[in-house]
Amino acid sequence: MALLQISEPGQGGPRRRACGIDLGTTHSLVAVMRDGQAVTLPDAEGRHRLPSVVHYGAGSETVGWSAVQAAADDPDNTFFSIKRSMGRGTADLDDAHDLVEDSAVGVPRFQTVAGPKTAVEISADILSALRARAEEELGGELDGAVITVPAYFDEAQRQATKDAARLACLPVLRLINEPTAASIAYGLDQQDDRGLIAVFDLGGGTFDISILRLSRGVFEVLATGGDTELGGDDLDRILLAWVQKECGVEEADRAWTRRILQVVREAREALSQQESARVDCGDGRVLTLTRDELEQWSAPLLERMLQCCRRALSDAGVEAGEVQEVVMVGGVTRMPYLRREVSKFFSREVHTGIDPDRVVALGAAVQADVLVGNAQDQDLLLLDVIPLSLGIEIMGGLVERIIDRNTTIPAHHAQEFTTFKDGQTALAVHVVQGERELVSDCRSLARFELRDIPPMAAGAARIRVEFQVDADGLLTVEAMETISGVRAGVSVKPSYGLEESEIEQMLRESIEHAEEDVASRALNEQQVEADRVVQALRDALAADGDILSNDAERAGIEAAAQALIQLRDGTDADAIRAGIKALEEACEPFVERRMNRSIRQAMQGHRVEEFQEQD
Amino acid sequence: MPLELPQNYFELFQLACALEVDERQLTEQYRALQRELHPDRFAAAGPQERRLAAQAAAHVNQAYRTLSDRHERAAYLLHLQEVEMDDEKDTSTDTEFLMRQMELREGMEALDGMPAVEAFGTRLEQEAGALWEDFGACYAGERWPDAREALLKLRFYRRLQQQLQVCKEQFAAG
Repeated sequence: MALLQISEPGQGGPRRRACGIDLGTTHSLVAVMRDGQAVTLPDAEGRHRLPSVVHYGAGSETVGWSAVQAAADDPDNTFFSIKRSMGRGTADLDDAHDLVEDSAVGVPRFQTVAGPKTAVEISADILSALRARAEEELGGELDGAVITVPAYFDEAQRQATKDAARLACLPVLRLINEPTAASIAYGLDQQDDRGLIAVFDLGGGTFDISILRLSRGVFEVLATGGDTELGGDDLDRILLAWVQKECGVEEADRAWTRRILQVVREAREALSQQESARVDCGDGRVLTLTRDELEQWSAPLLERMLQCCRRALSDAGVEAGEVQEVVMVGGVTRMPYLRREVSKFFSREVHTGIDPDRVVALGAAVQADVLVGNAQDQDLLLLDVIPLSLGIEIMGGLVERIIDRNTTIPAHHAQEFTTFKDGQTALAVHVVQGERELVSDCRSLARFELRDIPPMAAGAARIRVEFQVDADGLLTVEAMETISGVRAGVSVKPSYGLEESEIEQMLRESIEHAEEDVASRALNEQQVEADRVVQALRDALAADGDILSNDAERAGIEAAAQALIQLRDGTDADAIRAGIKALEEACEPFVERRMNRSIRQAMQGHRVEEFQEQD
Repeated sequence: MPLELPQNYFELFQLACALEVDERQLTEQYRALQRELHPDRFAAAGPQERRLAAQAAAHVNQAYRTLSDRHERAAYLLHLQEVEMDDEKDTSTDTEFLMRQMELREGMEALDGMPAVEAFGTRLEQEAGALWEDFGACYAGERWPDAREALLKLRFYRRLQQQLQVCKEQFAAG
């Protein structure tokens, strides 16, 4: 067992550093586990919520409260609600900021004094601020982070979030859905009765409804629905239009708009406690907003939300009355009107015990702790779904669905297609996401071509298109002509996503900015990965070393591991990468046998009788 | 796949190969498999193990989705007999049946309130129930083309039931 002897002292002992991050439209939070409890982390002034606002100055950028202050004097270089622009093209954006000219195609770039910035970079600055807060609390570099996203986020928005995390040097263990995180935070898994839960999540910019079934620590998402362009901000916009009309303002400039949005938001929030609120419009004009008026204007938005709820219930195959717990998430759900109406819709009291602003980050911290390996005895498993159907374009601009919405992930599905013309040698694959039948009504995700198909009669080729969605909800598509074996594929980079080279470029720039050496960063990344791989192997051998086929196999693995350990202490990042690859190859049969042992355990271990006894 | 996962979905969930399944066993076995195989259980493992886990979990998910739905389950039973229901546009050629479908469709368009919707739903359920019995008998008698025909007819009912659900939601929303 030579390999086990080279393990570092205290192996498996120290807790790994992990955090959960709620990257919100208006505010963001970071949480960690402290003495077995999830806690959100405050800044030096004791404030837990970090406004999701970034200000770019000539030489520096500021994030959070100080950026909010800078907004009044410098609105053009200050970014609010950047989450709304994640994974979006130019056509989807409002005109709050000027775009760099070449933004017409690809990822929109905003004009700032610090140069052009994408939504991904701006989000990365928010994430970096949160990372610093977590690392200070935990006393060192993070081993893993879980970032939450709205359940209804599409492929492009998820990919953009992951890219932002990469720019912020956050080791992401998993993207999880906000409603799922909230239900973990409520500890609903601790309860014995298996039940249906509805999570009603209204944030600043997005609305989600999720229906989950819970059983002994397994959170199974049955259906999710929502609207990524429906949130508290929309309510503020309605109020803004009202102020504009009342004050007779025809052309509102950005500074005025920004200020009024702030004032109406405060008034709206105040109305959760009182019956009427003052709206100070400046220039001596003060309006009064009553709770009744606010409720009246909220009604159409509520109806849109309830419509989403009805569809999610129907997708889940359950009735509103069967739901046993209703969890409210997001600051906007403090509105008494929403609590009353949602309670009426589900015919039961809603849960509001945990601060609706913090509940998502708290749940993310619990899950991060489990995934990083600190809580292996924790019986917590999330089975999440994709929110929108995935498909490809077929003749006539129609969509052929490959994976339906609300399919549990990871998911894998293949479908066969054929050629349309005699002698056709190439096939364009256009991947789309959405529920509508026409391609033009869906979101375009990616395009690629399958080339060099041998010429055949129309309809003779057999083209197998394979979709794979991983546990983060990210998609890979591959196409293969099965007669000739020609293949092509993409890791779907959404149309409004960043190219790998662009991310690397941004990484380089951010490193230069931080006065770090690019080569040492690359070396460090490989060293961390090497340590991870060796550690994983040690754990695997300790648990299942008995299934090595013979001494030769063990010797081969040990030699590769020793080689990697030596390379790891060198200075050649590429050599370490090659060493990792060699070790993986040496381990392949062992890893497969180990996975098969897990399968056998799963197949044998559990008969239904066992469960009946516990009832 | 080098994994030793049973490819037959019924075997995977330790169920008898039949139209009627023990749903409790199906769900419990599903959770038991995912508890062992989900990629989250391998978050700290090497990339190979994570890849294999994702493969295994995707297979289990696909199997569970298929067996959880009566229509999908029936189609899968036929698939195991090498009878394919491949084309969604494939349809019944029984003219009497098609006439009946038109009547039902017109009947649905004339619904004027929740009580009528409920009554219509019950009727659909009864007629579909009879077809399911028909499918069961054909399947037991290994009359595959007839079983396939019954399942094609049942697709009409499934669509009607889906449309009725939309109709119901509209009445519920007022």
